[in-house]
Amino acid sequence: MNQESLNQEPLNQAPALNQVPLGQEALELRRKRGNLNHFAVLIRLLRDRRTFLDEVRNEVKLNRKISALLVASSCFFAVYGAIVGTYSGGLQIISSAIKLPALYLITLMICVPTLYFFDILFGSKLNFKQYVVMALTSVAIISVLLFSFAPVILFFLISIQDYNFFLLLNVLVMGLTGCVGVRLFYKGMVDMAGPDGFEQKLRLKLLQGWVVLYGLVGSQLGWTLRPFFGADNEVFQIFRPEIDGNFYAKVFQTIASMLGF
Amino acid sequence: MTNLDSLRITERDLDEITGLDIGAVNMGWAYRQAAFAPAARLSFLGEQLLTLCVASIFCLPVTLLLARSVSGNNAAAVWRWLPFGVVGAIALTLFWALYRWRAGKRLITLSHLLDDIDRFNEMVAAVEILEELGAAKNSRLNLENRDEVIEALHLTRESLICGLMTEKVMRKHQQFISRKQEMFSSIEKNLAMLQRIQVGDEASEYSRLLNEAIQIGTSVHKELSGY
Repeated sequence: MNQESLNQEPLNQAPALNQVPLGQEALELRRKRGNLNHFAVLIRLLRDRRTFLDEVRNEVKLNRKISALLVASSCFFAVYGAIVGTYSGGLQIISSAIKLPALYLITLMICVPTLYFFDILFGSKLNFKQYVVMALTSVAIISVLLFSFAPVILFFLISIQDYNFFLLLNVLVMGLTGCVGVRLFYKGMVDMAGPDGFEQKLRLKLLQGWVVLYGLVGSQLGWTLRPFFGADNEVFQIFRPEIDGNFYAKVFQTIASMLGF
Repeated sequence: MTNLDSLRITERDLDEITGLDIGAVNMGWAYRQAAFAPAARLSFLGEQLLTLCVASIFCLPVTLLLARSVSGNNAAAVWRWLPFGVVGAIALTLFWALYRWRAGKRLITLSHLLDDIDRFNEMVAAVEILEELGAAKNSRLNLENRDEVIEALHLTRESLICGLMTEKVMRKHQQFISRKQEMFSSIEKNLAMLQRIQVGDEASEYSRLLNEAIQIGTSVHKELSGY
């Protein structure tokens, strides 16, 4: 067939269609909704986790899941961080809105390679993207749970102006949401591996060890990045000047202080 | 009445055929040409802004922690490093956008084929609407050429699928020419058949769809012949 005629003839037959492409408005509308899809992926994860995990297992749209979970969880963490930062107000709001998502996402960035390399060493068939999506899934769930606690935090922020109470309340909320998120991640990973995947006790122990490592790295990074809401009568600081100490010692110290010891 | 759902080329079909994660503006990580269309500009800028925010979340704290570590816990030095964090975040955003744009350039044929598939799916939707309207009482819509349109849609679908498969074969195995020729001849055959379908009443909706099918067929042929 003459290629030139193939390129030209039909276009001449339908001049009107060149001017008004069919369904163009609908197409543009779909493109404009692109940014909202980030949250749609997260909602789908919350509503139907099993299907979501099946998709991750079958490597369906992993890129989209990574970008959507990253953006959506960043937004939720940022909102929670900003609310926590209002305890001191001003620059602390912006600082906490950046530092809280950083705390969770950098912890993930530090810990995921450890899980991936150890797991493939002991027979995992999953690829790196699947591990990233699974880890982001847990972080995204934590972010949504934190976001859901935001009105409660806001209420206590308005009604009680006690630094120690606010500190412990946030530790409690973050600890609780963290436990739920990590538990769902653990169950998801066991589920992904299938009935035979975790027959090796070593791999199961490895996963449990990784969860502990994730908690330790997260709490220490949180200590390094503090303050998240700023102490009473103190000027704004990006980071606390003293690097010594650790998260757990501070929590025990605060509890002891509240109990009058 | 024919069920037209089987004609639609879904995103899952596209993912399976192309081996990429296909979306309205992306092919895997690569941008589709549709992402740069004037109507999608706002959405594109919004996405860049979101990317900048995420990049800031990574770059700013890491830069400032490094500054604190290097300066020996000097608060003034930490503040001085802040612009480096901002520049790092902007650079990361630009690099990511550039990478996706360049990846999109390499997949330009696929991008055009996907635009054709979007048009095709809109056509299927239009035919469905016409059929529903035609089934309603008092409708004065022209139902002539219906079978020809369905036939044209089948041929167009086949051409599009062939086009996608050829593109994938060419993308993955540049030396695998014989398969390309086989598929390309199938596209040519479909297009010739499409052009043989008589377009009678130019003003009717079905004729408009028929012409659209021929246009898509031509576009697929043009894309693949340029490979």
